[in-house]
Amino acid sequence: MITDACIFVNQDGSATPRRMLLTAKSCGISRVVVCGNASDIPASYAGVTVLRGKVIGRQNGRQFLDAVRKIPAGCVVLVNAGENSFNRTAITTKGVHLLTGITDLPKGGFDHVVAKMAADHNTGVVFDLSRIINPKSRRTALSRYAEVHLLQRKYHFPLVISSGTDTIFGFRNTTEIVALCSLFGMTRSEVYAALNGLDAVLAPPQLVTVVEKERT
Amino acid sequence: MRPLPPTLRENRRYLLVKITGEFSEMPPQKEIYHAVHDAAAELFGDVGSAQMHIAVVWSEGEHAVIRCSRGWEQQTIACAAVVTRLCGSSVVFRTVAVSGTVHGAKNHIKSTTWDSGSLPGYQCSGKKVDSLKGNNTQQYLTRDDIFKE
Repeated sequence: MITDACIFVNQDGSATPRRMLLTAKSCGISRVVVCGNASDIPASYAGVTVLRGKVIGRQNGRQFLDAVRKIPAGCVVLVNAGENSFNRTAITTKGVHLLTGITDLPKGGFDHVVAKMAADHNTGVVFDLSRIINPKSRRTALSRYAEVHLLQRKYHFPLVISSGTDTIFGFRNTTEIVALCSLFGMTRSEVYAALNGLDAVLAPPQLVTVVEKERT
Repeated sequence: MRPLPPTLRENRRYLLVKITGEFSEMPPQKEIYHAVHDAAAELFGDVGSAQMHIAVVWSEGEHAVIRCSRGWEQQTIACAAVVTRLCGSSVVFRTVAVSGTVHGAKNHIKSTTWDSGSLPGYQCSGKKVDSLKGNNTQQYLTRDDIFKE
C-alpha cells in the first residue's frame, strides 16, 4: 500500500481534508498519515485510507515520555530528531513509530549506533520530500538523506517517505518521487519499498508465525 | 543543405506534464521553459542542464510537452517536480507520461470533463463560489465539502 507518511491538514489551511485526500489519490497514494489540527477528517475518502499521526518535538526525557504516553492508541507517533542521545531515547521508547526531521540534525546526530538501534526496535526513519523541493533546505537534505540511506542499506532499518505538505501543491506522484529520490542515490525498488514501508513499522514481522494450523 | 537523416539525429524523449496552479490563465510557453530550465540549473548546474537539452515544445491549456535528451528523463522529471512558483503563483508540474514522440506524449492527455459519475471532484471555473473560510485566499475543496456546508 503506497503510503505518504506525513501530511499536515490544518483548520485554517487552504485545502479541506477531503480535497487533500483527493489530491493524494490522484498522485497514486492509497494511505496517508494525517497530522495537524483539522477536525472532521474522514477515516477514508476517495479510496485513500487515513491514519492519524502526532508529531512530538524535541523535549527533555521526562516530558518526552509523558508526551508519548498521552497519545491515544492507534495514532502513528512521529518524533522530531535531535541530539544523538535524544534520538537513542526516542528510538528505544515503546510506542514511537517514526523518526522525522533528519535534515535538522546536528552533526553526528544519526550515526551507525542509532541506525542499529532503529533496526533492532523497528523504528522507521522519514525522508521528507518537501525538504528537497524547498531550495533553501535542498542541499542539506540531499547530503543528509544520502548519508542515512547508506546506513539503511547496511543496517536495514525501516525507511518511509513523506511529502510533508500542508497544501495540495506539495504532493508528488510516484514517478516524481522515484525521480526525486534518485537524486540522493535511491533505486526504483528501494523507493517502492520505502513507500510501502509503514506496514513493517506498524505491524512488524514476528519471530514465529503460524502459517498453517495443523488439522488433527 | 540536406537535413540530417533520422539515424544520425539525437535521440530525444518527450514528457507530458500537467500544470496545476493558482493562476487565472495559463502562463505562456516561455515562462514554463524558464521555470524548468532554472530548476535544472539549480539541481544539476550549467553543465548538467546543457546536456539535458531541455525545451518546451508544446503547451495548450493545462498540459505541456517538455523535450529532453534520451537518458536524462529521470533528471528532467526531478527538475519539473521541484518547480513550485510560476509567474508569481504556486504551481506544480505533474509528470503524466514519457514518450519517444510528441504525438505519443499527447496521446496520454485525458479529457478533464467532470460529471456526476466520475471522480468526486468539482470544477467551478469562472463561476462565483462563496468561500467557506471568509478570507480572500483561494480555497480548495470537493463537492462533498460544498454539500456538507
